[in-house]
Amino acid sequence: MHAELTRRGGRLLAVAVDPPDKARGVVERNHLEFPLLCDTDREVIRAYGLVHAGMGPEGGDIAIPAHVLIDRNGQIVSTYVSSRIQTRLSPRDTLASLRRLPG
Amino acid sequence: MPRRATGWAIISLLLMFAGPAVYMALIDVPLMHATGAPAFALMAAGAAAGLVAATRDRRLWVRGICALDVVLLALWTYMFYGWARLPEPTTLYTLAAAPDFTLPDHTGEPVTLSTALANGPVLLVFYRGHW
Repeated sequence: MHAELTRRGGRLLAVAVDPPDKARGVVERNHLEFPLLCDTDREVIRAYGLVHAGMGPEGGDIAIPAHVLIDRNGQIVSTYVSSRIQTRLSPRDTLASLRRLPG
Repeated sequence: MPRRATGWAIISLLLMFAGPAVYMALIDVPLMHATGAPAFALMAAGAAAGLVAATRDRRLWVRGICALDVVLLALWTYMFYGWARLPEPTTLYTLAAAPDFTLPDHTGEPVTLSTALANGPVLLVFYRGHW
């Protein structure tokens, strides 16, 4: 999926509420090839309506896991959202949406 | 000679703990499609082993383990289907345009969505975080 995305000049941006020092550890441990953005103020998850209130270790808000595909014009093309904590989103679903994008 | 099923009882306990352990191991792998299915399979096998042990062996501790297996399976089921439910992201579904933002990435560099979009589509992957 990453190949399909980059073929179209696209990028994958990961978002989590962890601060940069924690995020660095995650990226290094998992050899992630994409940036992990730090939404420590929870502004972005609020803007996207993906807040899971009070579920962090100290009662803070965290994100609902989701894929949001945005086209070059800034329009949201598709979204996949977990309905349960244990459901991880399949890259296959997002790949299908990606393939429907022009170009 | 009284029947013994010590092996079954111990195996059942190991399976009950292997289930969540497998789940926790899988959940940290980014972009992996992890459901609770393997964990449930292991725990169901553990409960079954516990039942086999309890039907063969009359000792109290063996039957206690069987009861524990059933309790653990019930607890896990509740956690998975009750407690683990996520709220509906209704606001997200009403959005047409993606809200722009600038956030620091893991190296501290600021990243702006609209800048990234100038080059092509962007896939935003929201993680729960708190690894």
